[in-house]
Amino acid sequence: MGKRKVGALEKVDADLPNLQHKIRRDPLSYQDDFSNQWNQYRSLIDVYLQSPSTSDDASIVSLRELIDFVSHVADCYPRVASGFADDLKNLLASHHADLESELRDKVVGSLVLIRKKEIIDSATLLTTLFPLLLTTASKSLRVLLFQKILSELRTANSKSTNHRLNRQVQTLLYDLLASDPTSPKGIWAVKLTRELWKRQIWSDTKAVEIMKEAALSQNEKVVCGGVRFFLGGDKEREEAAEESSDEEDTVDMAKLKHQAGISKKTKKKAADLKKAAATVKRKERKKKAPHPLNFSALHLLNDPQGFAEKLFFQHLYPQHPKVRLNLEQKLLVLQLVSRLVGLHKLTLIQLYSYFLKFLTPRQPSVTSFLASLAQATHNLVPPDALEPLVQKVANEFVSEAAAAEVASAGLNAIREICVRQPLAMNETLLQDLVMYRKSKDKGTMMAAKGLVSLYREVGAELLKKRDRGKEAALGLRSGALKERRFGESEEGGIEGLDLLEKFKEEERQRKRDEKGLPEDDDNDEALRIAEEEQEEVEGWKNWDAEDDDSDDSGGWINVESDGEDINISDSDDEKPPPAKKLRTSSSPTSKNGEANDEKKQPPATPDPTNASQRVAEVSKLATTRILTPADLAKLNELRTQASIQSHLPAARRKQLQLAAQAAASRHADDAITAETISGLAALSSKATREEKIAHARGLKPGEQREKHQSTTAMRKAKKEAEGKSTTNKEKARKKNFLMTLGKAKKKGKRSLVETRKVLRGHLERQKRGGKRGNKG
Amino acid sequence: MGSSAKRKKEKKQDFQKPKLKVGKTKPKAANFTSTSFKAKSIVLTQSTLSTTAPSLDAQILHNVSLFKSKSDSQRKDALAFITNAIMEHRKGFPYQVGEIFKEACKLLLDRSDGVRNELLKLLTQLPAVEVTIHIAEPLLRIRAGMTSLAKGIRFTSYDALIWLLKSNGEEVVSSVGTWVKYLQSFQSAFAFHAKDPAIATNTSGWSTLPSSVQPIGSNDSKVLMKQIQALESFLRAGLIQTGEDSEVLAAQSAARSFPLWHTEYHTMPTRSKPFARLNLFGPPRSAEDEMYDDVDERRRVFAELGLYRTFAHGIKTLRKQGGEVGRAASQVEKVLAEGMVDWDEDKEYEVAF
Repeated sequence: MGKRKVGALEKVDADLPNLQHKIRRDPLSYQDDFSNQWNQYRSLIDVYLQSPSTSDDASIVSLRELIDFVSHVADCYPRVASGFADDLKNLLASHHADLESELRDKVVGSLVLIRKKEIIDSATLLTTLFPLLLTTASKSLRVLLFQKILSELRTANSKSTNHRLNRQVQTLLYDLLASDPTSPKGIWAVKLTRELWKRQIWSDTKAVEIMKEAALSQNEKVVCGGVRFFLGGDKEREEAAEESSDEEDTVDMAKLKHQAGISKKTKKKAADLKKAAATVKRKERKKKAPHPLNFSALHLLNDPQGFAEKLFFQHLYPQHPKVRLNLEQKLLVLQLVSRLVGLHKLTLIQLYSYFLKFLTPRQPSVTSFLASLAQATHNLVPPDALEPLVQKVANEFVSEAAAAEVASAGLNAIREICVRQPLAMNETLLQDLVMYRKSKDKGTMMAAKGLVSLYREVGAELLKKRDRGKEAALGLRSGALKERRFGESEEGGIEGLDLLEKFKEEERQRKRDEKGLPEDDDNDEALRIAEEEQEEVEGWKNWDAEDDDSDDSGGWINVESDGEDINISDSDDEKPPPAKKLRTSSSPTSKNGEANDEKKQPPATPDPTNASQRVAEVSKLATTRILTPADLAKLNELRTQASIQSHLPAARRKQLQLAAQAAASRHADDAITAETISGLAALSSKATREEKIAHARGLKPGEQREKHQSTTAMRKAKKEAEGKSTTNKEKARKKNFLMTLGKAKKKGKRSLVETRKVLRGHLERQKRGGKRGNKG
Repeated sequence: MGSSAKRKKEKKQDFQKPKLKVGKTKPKAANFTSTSFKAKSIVLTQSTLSTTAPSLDAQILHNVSLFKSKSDSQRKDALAFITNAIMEHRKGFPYQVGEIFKEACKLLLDRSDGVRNELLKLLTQLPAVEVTIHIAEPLLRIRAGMTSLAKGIRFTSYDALIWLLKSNGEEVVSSVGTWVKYLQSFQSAFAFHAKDPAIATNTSGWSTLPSSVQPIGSNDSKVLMKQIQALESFLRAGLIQTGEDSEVLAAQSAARSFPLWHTEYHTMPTRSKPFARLNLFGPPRSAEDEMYDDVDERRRVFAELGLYRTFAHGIKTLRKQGGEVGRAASQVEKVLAEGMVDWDEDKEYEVAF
């Protein structure tokens, strides 16, 4: 056959990508070509379906190419390619086991692609892929499917939450777990839910319900997945959120603008700049957006009591549970149960006796057990349930013969238990334990001291007199420090309210003195009320000024001005009675004299005898009037002032207080870990030289310093990273040698006059502060 | 142009001559590639030396297995060997020809031209009777090839179809899902458009040519000719009754084996998938997938799906092109007229499926 001239079109027609490209540009003209390929695809599918397991390589390759082609252009010919999605679904559903792996991946990819082209909807895609994820034996396919399902759910929820789809999928997952609790397939429900929880796509009760079901299932992997989610899911979510917010700050707008000013101006660069500006703006808005309310999974639980009970009686309590968990897994479950009990203050009496057999120093990872025990304690646990445990810990762990770490861990655990339920301790035991204050081992000593300081606050009468300390002894004598009974809860109050009231009284007095009015009068009643009102109106006026200017929308301001009006009218209605009450309560018999006495009292001296009376007064102030923003601000100020003053004399006391604050600030949501229990043991042994050096360098243990560098170099690198400029000195140092040559040559040939001129100029310049001077 | 000391040094190194020393081997060049290899023993395939040559049976088996070989030439040689073997041993061929046919059909969509040509040579050598049983195997692949992008594959497919129709015409058109689907493939290959309002109104784009003028691979009239030829034989096989009526045939066969009754039901079937019509295990068939093993049925479907009108119109346009193509098209027109002679287009037929 001789050489024939071929048209360009014909030459390249033979490959599908080319045809695909042409079809995308002009679907109408290539309709026939598409239908040809469509027919070919149909026949190849038929060939394949005839003998799925023994198809030859060539036909599989061409089938794969055709599927790829059709999926890319199927949206152009919806009528011709209407059966495409069903074909793929059937192919995958019935032949996923014996499909050649590359073809199988292509089919999955094509399904996702036609979902993106909106030929099928997400629900169809997910209901196709999810059953496969459960049934397939191929790991690579599972990985692919999991990734595709996840990304599909993410995209479906990217613009706004797709509640319908979420509900559908959540029900699917829940049913999977609920229908067969023993099957290991539930792990996929756990994985998917955890991933979506982490990305904050699912953060509702339904997701938590799924995990709850998982934790109560009968497969150890699924159980662990569910339990781990409750223990660590929220932390993971927080970390992921932080990471993503860190990542965002990559566009440096100032730099881009600077570059745009310098480099050649093209349309493309202008568009780039605009795009960058838009992204920066979007990110800014995102940053300013209100923080989404992310409830912890533990708080979203419906019926935590039931959940904790089920967990305990299913996995821990029975001698031969349905699921055999190893010690580590059991500890996880125990942690969750105790966390639930502590957090929601649940009653699960059997839990405490369960601990009993594990509390020996020989028990592996006993510190975790101790931590769980402390976690499961709260102020509504009956002391009878805890007392034997504390006794056992004291007997087993705390003795002169025990190792230092053991004793300190035991003491620490007892302290952690008693922080939550002080009534679990009896007098003799406490006095015994307190003796370890004198221990030679530092860890043990510190732990015992912690116990003493705790009981000075919560139960000083259990301590011997000499251990109580000054403050506790005084408190006991005055009756301010009383042991709290079981089930008694603290009265709510506003800290520093008495200070505020005293301040107000003083202010009023001061004003009167300024005006030259007599001390206090009966006929001043009306005047006083008017004054109070005036003050209150002033207080509300300050509202805007004290508010931080974070919101810039006008609508808010309007709302507030409305609120102001309402408050004024409120005070009109209600002000007179409280003022009267105030007076009557403070001076029931002779208003004049008593009131004067009170006002003359120095503000800072506490008066224990008057305490109960004052408490009544204070509660009235808070309940009878609305505190204005100005009041609140003053209250805050007074509070801090008072606390500073109370700290001033004794530095030691201050330190103790700080430690107590740190302990109190530990959030109730945070778990107690084994490290908290065994932490003090680190004090027992001296640090090695290496550890000390690492500590001094601010490195964490086990971390290596990455590079040896001079301090100057490090500083320079830091400066450069911050985008700061160099000093003149640095510039001079970097100056090209050749540029300095000319000057140096000239310098040697100067005349005396010239030299003088130069030197003078230099002096003058220095005075001025550089070439341009320092003005402006 | 390197300015730094390091660059200069690097550059200098490029031009340095290696010092050669007496009694030492020459240093190896930077781009030296080692061509040495290690092997404990070299295994030669088919190097068994026996006093007797390998039997024909074994050779055929080996060559059939080579159909799946990666190399083009090996596949081609294997096909050639089988062709020769069949030609030489027409009487006592030791291997099931049907099995060979089944394997060979997988090469219908082969990428190499040589292999496909060799395959066609092999096919012509096969006895028609052996092919009948395995006819489903090539049918799907031929249909796939008819609309392939590669011209060579299309050409081979039409050739194979023509051969198949010549040897087993009736069997082809009456097997499962062939009749309608093949017609649709022809329609798409010729780019005949049904009088479809959706397409007719859509042709507002300036780039759309009158479709029947530019079928696939239009600049190659050779393929087009083959295509028309294939269509002609396909329509002839499908629409024109050949031989006797089936009842007459049945009566004749009954007469031949007179004392016996219904012998054909007790012997091995001569058709492929003799019970396919019952569709015992598959999903319910649509009109496309149904099998039409009666001429009248085929005619009815041909007309009812609107294919008759489309083809008649398309062929007429082709005939108007004149020349070789026109002549071939007029042959097709003749077949159409002959096949549908007693067909009344306006008549309403009840839908049977």
